[in-house]
Amino acid sequence: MYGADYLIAQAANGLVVGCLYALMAVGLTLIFSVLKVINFAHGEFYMVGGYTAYYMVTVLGGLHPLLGIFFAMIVLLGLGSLFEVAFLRPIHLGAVNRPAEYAILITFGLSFFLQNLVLSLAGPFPHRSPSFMSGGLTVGPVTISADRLIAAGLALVLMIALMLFIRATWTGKAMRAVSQDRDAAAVSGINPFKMNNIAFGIGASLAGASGALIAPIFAVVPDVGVLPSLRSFVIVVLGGMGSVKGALIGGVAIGLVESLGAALIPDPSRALAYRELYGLVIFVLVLLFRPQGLFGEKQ
Amino acid sequence: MKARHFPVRKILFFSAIVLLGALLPLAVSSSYWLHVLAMAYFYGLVAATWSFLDGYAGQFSFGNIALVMIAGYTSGLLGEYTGLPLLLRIVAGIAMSGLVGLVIGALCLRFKGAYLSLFTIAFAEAVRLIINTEHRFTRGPCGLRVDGFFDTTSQVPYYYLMFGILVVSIFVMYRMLRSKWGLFFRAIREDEDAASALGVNVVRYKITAFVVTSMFCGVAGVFYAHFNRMLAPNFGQITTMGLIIGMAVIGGVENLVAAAMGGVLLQFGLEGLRDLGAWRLVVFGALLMIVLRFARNGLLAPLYRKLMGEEL
Amino acid sequence: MDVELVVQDLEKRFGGVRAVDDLSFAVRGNELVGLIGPNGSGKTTTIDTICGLLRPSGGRISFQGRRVDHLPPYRRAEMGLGRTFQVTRVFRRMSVLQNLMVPAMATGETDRSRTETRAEEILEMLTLDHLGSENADSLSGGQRKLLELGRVLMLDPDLIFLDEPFAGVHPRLRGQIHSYIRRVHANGKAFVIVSHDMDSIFELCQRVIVMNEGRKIADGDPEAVRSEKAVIDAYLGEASEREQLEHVGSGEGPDA
Repeated sequence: MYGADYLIAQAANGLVVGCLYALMAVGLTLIFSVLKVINFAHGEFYMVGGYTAYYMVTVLGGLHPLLGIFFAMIVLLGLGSLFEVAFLRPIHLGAVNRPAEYAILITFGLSFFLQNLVLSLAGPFPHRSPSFMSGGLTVGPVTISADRLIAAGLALVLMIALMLFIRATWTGKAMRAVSQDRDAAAVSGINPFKMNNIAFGIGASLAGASGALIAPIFAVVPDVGVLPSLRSFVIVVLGGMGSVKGALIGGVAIGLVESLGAALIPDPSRALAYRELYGLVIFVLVLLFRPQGLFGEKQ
Repeated sequence: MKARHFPVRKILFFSAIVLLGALLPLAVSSSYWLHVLAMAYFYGLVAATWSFLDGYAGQFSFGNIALVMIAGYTSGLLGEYTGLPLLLRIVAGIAMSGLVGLVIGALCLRFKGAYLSLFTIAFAEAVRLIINTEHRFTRGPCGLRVDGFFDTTSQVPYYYLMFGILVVSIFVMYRMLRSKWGLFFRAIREDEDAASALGVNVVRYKITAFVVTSMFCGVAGVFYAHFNRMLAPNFGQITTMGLIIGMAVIGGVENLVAAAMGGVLLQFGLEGLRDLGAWRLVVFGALLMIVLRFARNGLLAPLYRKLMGEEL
Repeated sequence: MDVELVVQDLEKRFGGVRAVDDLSFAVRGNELVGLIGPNGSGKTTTIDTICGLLRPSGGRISFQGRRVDHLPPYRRAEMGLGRTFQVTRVFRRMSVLQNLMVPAMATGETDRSRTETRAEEILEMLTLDHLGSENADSLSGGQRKLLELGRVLMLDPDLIFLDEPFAGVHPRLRGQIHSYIRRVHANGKAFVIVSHDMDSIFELCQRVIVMNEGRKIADGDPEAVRSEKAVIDAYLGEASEREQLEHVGSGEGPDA
C-alpha cells in the first residue's frame, strides 16, 4: 500500500496537470457551444502548439520560452480561423449535406492531415522545449517542478481571462448569444459567422497554448495530441457540453482521478498505461447515466 | 407500372471485376505486389463495413478497426494458448467481434450522433491500450506471431483467399442492403422517430446493423491476421481508422461498392507511392478534406451511379 | 376491424409544465374526430404520447382493448395506430417510392412487387405518380404533406392521426386532401385530425374535441362545441381563430 505522503504528492500533481487538461477542454467546449461542432482536430491543435513553441524557442533563435507560448497561440488563432472560414462555414450556411456527419469528418480529416504534415516536416522523434525555469517548489512531502507550476498558473490565468472576456466584453456576450440561439442573435444584429470564427480561433489557440505549456514537461511527437484530445472529450462530456465552468472543474477532476487512480494498481507500468482508461470509464458512465454532464443543462 | 428489369449492366460490371481480380496474378508475378493487392482487398472490405454502418444505417463509429483487432487477436491468442484448429478459431474470432458489436450496438441506443463517435473512438483506444499493456498475454508491442493458412511462401493462394473473402463479403452485404433491411437502415438514418412511428423496430435494426458490421470486421480481422501472420497493437491506431474512413469517404460512403473500390484503389495507390513516406498521407488527408468539401458523395459513387443508372 | 381507442386521465409533464393534463376521451368505430385548441394547448403532445414517441407521466392508453402505453411506437404502429407529423418528416434522402415501402415492409408485408404495386396506386391517387423515383428531398412542402399521408396509408392503420395536414398547403390541394380523407374514411378507417384550419375541421369532422392548456374543455357535436362558452373563452386570446370559429360552416355567424 501507499502512504499518505505518496497520495498527497499524487493529488498535488493531479491538480497541477488538471489545470492544463482544463485549458484544452475549455477550448473544445467553447467551440462546441458556439459552433455546435465537436472538434476532432483539437489534439492536433495542441500538438501544433507544442511544435510551434519548440521551434520558436530553439530554432528561430533564443526567444524566451514564455514568448514561445504567445507565438503558439497566435499561430493557432490564425490556423483555426482559416480552417473555420474554409471548411466549417458551409455547415452554418446550409451548404453541405448531412452536416453532423460532415462536421465530424472534416475536423477528423484535418487531424489526419496535420498529424502527417508534422510527421513529414519534423520527423517522428520527440522534441522537448527548454524549461521555463529550473528548480521547483517543495511543501512538506510534495515537490513540484517550477515548469509545472508555471504551466498550471498560466493555464489558470488564461482561463480566467477567457471567462472575463465572455462575461464582460461585447464580443463575449455576442458569442454567448449565438451559442444560445443562433437565429435570435442574428436578428439582433450579431453576425453569427463572425462569432463562429472568433470562437473557433480562440478555441484552437487555447489548445495550442496548452500544448506549448506542456512542451517543456513532456516532449512533443506528431501523435502526442491523440490522448489529450480523448481526455478533453471526457472532460467536456463530464462537465457538460458547452459549459466553460464545467470544463474547468471536469479538467481538475480528471487530473485528480488519473493521478490517484494510478495508486490503485500496484504494477507501475500498468498503472501508467491504465491511467488513460479511468477517463474512458468515467466517460461511458457519464454518457450512460447523466448525458447532459455534471453542469450541463438537460436538453 | 415498372417491371423489374434484369440487371444486365450490373452483372456485366461485377463479372468484369471478378474476372479482372482472378486474372491479375497471371500478369503480376512479383510476390510483393500480390501481397500489396491482398492487403488492398482487406482495406476494401473494412471500408465497405464502414459504409454499411455509417452510409446506410447512419451510425458514425470509429470502432471498426478495434473489431478487426479483436477478431484477429481472438484467433491468434487461441492458437497461442490452445490447440484449437484454425477453422474453429476463425469462427470464434468472428463470433467475438459480433458479440462485442452487440454490446456496442446496445450502448449506442443511448449515444446518438457525435456522442457515438466519441464513445467508439474511446473504445478503440481502450482496446489498443489493453493489448499494448497486457504484453505478458498478448506479446504487446512486439507483436503476436500467428499461423498462416497455407504451408507455402507463395503469395498466390493468399491473394485468391483475400480476393474471394472480399467478393463474397461484399455480395452478402449487398444482398442485405437490397433487402428490407437496407430500407429500414436508411429510414432510421433519415429519421428514427418517423421510422418508429411507421412500424420499424428501430432498436432491433440498429443493433442488427452493428452486429453485421462487426462480424464483417471480424471476417476482415481473422483473415488479415492469418494472412499477415503477425498482429501488433499499433495497427489498431486511430490513424489506421482514419485511412479506412478516408477511403470510404473518397470512394463514396453511401455506396457500398464505391466505398470498397475506394479502399482497394487507395491502399494500392498508397503502397505504390511508398517512396514518398509520410507525405503521401499528407496528400491523402488533403484529398479527404477536399472531397468532403466539394464532392460530398465521393469520387466513385457518382461514376457508379452513372454507369448503373441507380444507386445500389 | 372496429376501432377502439380509450385514453384515460392521460398526463404528460415536461419539468413543471403539464403539457397534457388529466385528458380522457375515446374514439370508437370509424369516427372522424377533430382535435383543436389554441397554440400550445397540448394537441401534438397528445398524439406523441398516444403513438409512443413520448412516455406518459400518468394515466392509461388502450387500443383495441389492450393497454399500449408501455409499448414502443413500432408495436403501436403494427397494432394499427398511424400518424403524420406537424412538421413533415419524410425520409429525405430516399426515393418517394422507398418512403412508401418502409411502413408496408415493416409491418410484415413480404411480397415486394405487390407492395410496389400498392404504393404506385397510392401515388397515383395522390397525383405523385410521376415522382416515384425522385428523392423526397426534391418535393415541395405540399407534396411532402401528401407523401406523409401516403406513407401512413401504406401502414394500413385502423386509426390515423393527422397532425396539421393542411398547414402550408395550397388551397386547391386542400380540397384534394379532404377527398382523400373522405375516401379512406369510407373504407372504414377512423381519423383524429389536428388542425388550425377550422373550415376543414368543421367540414370534415363528425365530432370535435377542444383542448386548452393541456385539458379537454369540450367534446361533442361540432355545432354544439362551437357555441360552448369555455371554447370561446379559450380562443379569445387568438382573435383570428375566434373569428374563424364564429364564421365557419353556414357563414351566418355564431349561433345564439
